[in-house]
Amino acid sequence: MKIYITAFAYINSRGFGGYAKHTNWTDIGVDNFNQCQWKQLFNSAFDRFGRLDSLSKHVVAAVELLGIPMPCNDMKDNETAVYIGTELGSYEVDKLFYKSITQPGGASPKLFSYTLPSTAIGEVAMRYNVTGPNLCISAGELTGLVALWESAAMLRSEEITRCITVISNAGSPDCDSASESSSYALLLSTKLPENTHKVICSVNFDDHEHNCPAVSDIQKLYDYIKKPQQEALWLATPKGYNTKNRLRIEHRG
Amino acid sequence: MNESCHILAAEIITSLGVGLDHNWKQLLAQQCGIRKLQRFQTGKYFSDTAGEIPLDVFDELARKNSIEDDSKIFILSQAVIGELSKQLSGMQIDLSKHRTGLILSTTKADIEALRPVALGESNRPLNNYWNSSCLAQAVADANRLTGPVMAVSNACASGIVAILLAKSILQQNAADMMLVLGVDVLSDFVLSGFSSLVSLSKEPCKPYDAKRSGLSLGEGSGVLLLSKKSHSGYPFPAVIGGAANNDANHITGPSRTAEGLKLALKRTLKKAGLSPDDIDYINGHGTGTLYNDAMESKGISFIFGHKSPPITSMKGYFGHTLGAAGVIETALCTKILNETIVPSSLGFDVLDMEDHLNVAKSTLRLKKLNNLITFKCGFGGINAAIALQKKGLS
Repeated sequence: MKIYITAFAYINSRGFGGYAKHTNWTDIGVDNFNQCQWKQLFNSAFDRFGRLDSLSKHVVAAVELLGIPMPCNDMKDNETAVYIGTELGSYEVDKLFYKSITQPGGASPKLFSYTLPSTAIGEVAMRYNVTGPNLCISAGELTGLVALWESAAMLRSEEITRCITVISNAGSPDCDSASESSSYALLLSTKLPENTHKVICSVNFDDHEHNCPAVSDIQKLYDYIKKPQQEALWLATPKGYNTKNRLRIEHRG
Repeated sequence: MNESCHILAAEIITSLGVGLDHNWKQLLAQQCGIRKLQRFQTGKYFSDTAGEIPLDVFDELARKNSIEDDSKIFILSQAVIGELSKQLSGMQIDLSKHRTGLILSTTKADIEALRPVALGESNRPLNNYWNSSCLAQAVADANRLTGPVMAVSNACASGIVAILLAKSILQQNAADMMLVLGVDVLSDFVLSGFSSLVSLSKEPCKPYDAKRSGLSLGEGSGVLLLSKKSHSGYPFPAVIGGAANNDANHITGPSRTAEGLKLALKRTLKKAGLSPDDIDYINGHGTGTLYNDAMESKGISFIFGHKSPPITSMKGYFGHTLGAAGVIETALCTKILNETIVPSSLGFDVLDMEDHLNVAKSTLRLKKLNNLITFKCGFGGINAAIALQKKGLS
């Protein structure tokens, strides 16, 4: 079973960008990004982000950068899964909802709807008409690694052919500024893409003995996809997983 | 790759009491654990009733299990694993001697711990359990678990999604055994939230009934021990298939066409290698809200037609325990399979839905109960189902 990364996108304090067939890191303007643009992206009343909470905005914006075509009819896609890994979950909107409870107007139903991180999955599913499997997971600092691992495992089970995997944190307990937030999105597929995307990397479960150093930080994967310095990158087996398998990521040029 | 996994042991704590056997007896006696709120200010919420665990039960659970932490969610988590450990010692299973992992299923973990930060009274939460992965790790550490540890937050479908994830990890041979822990507690946060959505019933909920007027919240914990290998001498069933699908329709409201539920049921049957006729009982989500229950009837009648097997909801007994619901109700489903008895759907009297549902109004003693399906649905449009099969049949 071959798995491919066919698009990758990110939003973090350095800006936002992606890598799909029709985009590359520079033409999205990653190097010219500043705080002002960040505010334009999330803090103003964007039509398509208007009602969303901070986590959903991060998730949806990153997924939009993957360049997946918007559905042009009511056809549902049950072969695509949406997996989200988030360490902080709905932390930001939880605080806002708490405040609303004590205010004269009372608890806000609009905010409450977003106090579950899985609502971000619903936002993605609705935008792209995807009805496949869903998972919203949190595993401390290994959240990204586990989300990616389980996405690959789901694809390997042949239940689905594509997985939109997003690793996202909106706000942090130590720093409330948006600059501490980040969102990485990947489009994983077991089928070779046709028109809209191209193969960026292949992903394999590799159980061969080897001494190659493995990484557990998704930022490292992003660095590798952007500018591969070596033939392959190994992602560490998540802590506690009793297997020799590692995820071997190989850039396809 | 779709192999079964086995439920080796199960335990629960609800507002009906402590222990799976105790709760089972309460269900058979049609006892209702939904009462007037004690820990919370009455008159503040849309409803003053819930499946609340009395404070003295929390105190007793903490004392009996030597839990010094005063977080209610930690007490419920540790206490239910304590109950499970009693079963496991009889089975000569020591969790810490195997590569055992933990998947925590919760919606809001210890959200009350975040209150001082949210209200600007402090910059430190009361504890770290507001973060579900911190709670999962604390429970794993307290039980010396060495396998994978993570938390699932798929709204009210979390418990079933957590079981599916545990099954996937076992199929990867990444752990010897997996604990699936479902836990949620009542809080001002959750009571205010559901009040704001005007989805609470003022009286104990009446799932699937013509007079249903909303849900009753509940709290509790449940734990399942899953393994690829069964354990001789113990009757717990196998999880033979399951699926989770999205409605892609609405963030909080159920789909009017039951799109996601139909898909999840269809795929569950396919993966279990069963036809609709093979299913002898359905444990529905059955929250008691107008639209959820109508959606379920649409999904079930689409898959099972007019010959649908009996269905019940357990929410009338102890309320909607949110992230714990899938685990607590799956634990009770193991009793249903073993005893071949289906406790009635408490609160149900008359059906008035457009689509057919065979709701059990009274306790059923079935001649055959080999396979059942349990499903849960949640915010974000998520629907998740699993099929359980009586031990020895798979």
